[in-house]
Amino acid sequence: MKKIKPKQKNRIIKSRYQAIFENSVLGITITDEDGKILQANNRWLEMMGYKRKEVINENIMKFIAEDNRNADVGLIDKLMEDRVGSYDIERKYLRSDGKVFWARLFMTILDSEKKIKLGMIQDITNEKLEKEVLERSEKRFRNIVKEVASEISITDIDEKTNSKMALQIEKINIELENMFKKELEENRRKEAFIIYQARLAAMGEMIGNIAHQWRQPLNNLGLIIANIEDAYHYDELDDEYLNHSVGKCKKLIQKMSDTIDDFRDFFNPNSVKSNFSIRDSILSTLDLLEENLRFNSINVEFEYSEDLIGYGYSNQYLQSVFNIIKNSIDSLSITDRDNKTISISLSQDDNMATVDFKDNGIGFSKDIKEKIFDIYFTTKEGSKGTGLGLHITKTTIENNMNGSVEIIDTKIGANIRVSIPKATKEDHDGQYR
Amino acid sequence: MDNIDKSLLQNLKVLYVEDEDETRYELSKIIKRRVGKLFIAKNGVEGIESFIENQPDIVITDLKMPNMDGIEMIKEIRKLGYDTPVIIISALSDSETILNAIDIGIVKYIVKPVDTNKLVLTMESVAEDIFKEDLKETKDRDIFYIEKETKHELEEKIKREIAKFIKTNSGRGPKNIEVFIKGNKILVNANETLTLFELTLISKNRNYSLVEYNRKLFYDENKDDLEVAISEAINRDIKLEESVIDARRKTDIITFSF
Repeated sequence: MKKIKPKQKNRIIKSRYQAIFENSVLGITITDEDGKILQANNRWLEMMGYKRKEVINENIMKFIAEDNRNADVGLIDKLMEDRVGSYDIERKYLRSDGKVFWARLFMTILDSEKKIKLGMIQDITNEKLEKEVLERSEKRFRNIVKEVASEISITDIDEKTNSKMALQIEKINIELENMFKKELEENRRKEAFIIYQARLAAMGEMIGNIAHQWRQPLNNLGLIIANIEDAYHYDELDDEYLNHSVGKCKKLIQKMSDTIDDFRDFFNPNSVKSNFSIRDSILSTLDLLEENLRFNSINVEFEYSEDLIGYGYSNQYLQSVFNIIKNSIDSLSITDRDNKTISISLSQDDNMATVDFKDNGIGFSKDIKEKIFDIYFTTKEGSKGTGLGLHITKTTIENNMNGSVEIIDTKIGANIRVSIPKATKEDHDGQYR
Repeated sequence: MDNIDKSLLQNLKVLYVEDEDETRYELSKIIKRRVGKLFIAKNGVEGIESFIENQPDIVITDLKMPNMDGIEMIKEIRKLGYDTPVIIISALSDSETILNAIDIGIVKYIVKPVDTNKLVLTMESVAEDIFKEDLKETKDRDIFYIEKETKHELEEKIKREIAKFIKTNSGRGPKNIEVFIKGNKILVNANETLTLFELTLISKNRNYSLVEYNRKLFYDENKDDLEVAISEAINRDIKLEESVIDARRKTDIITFSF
């Protein structure tokens, strides 16, 4: 086996280190004694919204919100005086667009003589679920960086220390790789959890909808029964009256039962892709939301000259359509306009079946548009939104069905376009729902 | 349920506004059995029209309706200067909506699904409030608790006497008369009563007040005859309280009391 020379090894290590530096999920800066930025990784630039040349040689303080600049005074002194090896703190940063965001900063000394500092930040503005995972990986990172830092600070490197250091860094690398694998595993678990969460959220929405859908028939059932009793006391209860009322009750009960069936279909886990009617999916979603639409005085325009047959998971598609229409309803319910309308239109090309959902609600502002598909992002007040609906819609349509979900710019309201693959020809004669 | 018909509610006109057909059909049956007169509307706009025309004593309304919702309708009614008690029946039970409703003088708030017993009790308590002062003053409380059929009979008799009176003494009988007994009051609307002579006088959209004055004089001068005729017909002493003539609408509005 060919032995790799330490120098060569060092180069490999260096490039690996560079890769970690550039691809880290954390924003990393390296600053000198006075806080002048020597290096910043892509993630950091992305978080702050600057180009590299705009930040190099600038003082880091320039990027920290004014009222937060002195937050770590005591800590940084201790660090500089070598009284602590590192510290972490929550800091308020100022982006190039003037927006403020909170991040957790981890600071350590890379070179204790030259007082070169390494700072790593994680955006905690949207921190919810990630918190736990992050804390764990941060702790691991911290240990590793400490070791890296202690080695890097050795300035005059002889052959012996060099190889010792190489060995150590190699060890760190292996650990990093392991950590990365674990991280990946963790992410997978997290994703599964999000899907589970989304499912719960969707179920909550559904139950809310059943309540909505049931309220009217339930009210009417109560009234019909009260009327039967009333008619009896007023001597109006004859055969005809009774039959008529019982008939009406049966109809209402059937209607309520149909609602339950519709909702059950919704959660039927069909794990096989199949051809299905897009028109029918939309129509049955509109059925489910009928009361909600009526309640909010929303008019639905759904025109189709011919049906479209899509290929994929029909129930997931149904849920996606539900999420989008529900979002439109929520948006329309807070507008004052008279002619609240959702219009749905179908189109197709050679491969894709496309549906445009348009509404004349509040629409998306530019910064909302950027975040609308982000997980946990919601504009709804209080506990009304989970921030999962559109995220899961995009994820399922794009990842599970090879489709796309995008926002089309419009002057008024919102337009969300959903495309999924069309049924293949040979499948076309096959059965679909 | 021996007292079922003997309710204060028989003295009241009620306006019920609801957009959903089935609910309106069922609940209006229940209300109709218990009140003196029921008017029905399908939305806020119709509700206001009916309110102005029929001057109900209680309004029962749904909140969420197309065209004009319940809150808007009540705001309009308040703007017109009426403080008629309102009972809301709504699927909405959030505090914001309820507070909103209280602000515009809603008396009671009933959440769907409707408990009809509760609704009837609520209506009765509202009716008691309406008649509180009258009940204190009156000697004959039984008049207020009148049976539906008895009430109808009395109203028919009064109607006949007034029609006869107007026709005999003015030369022209009214096209129709509405009589409604409200507690110790008898409210009469006699429509299309104007004689040819009076119609000619107002044909150029002038002389309305002259005709109104004359007709008022007509009732005041013959007050005793009218009172005796009605009192004999229904076996109770009554008094003419007030006569108001609206020549533009060609209506005589006469109020009696027991």
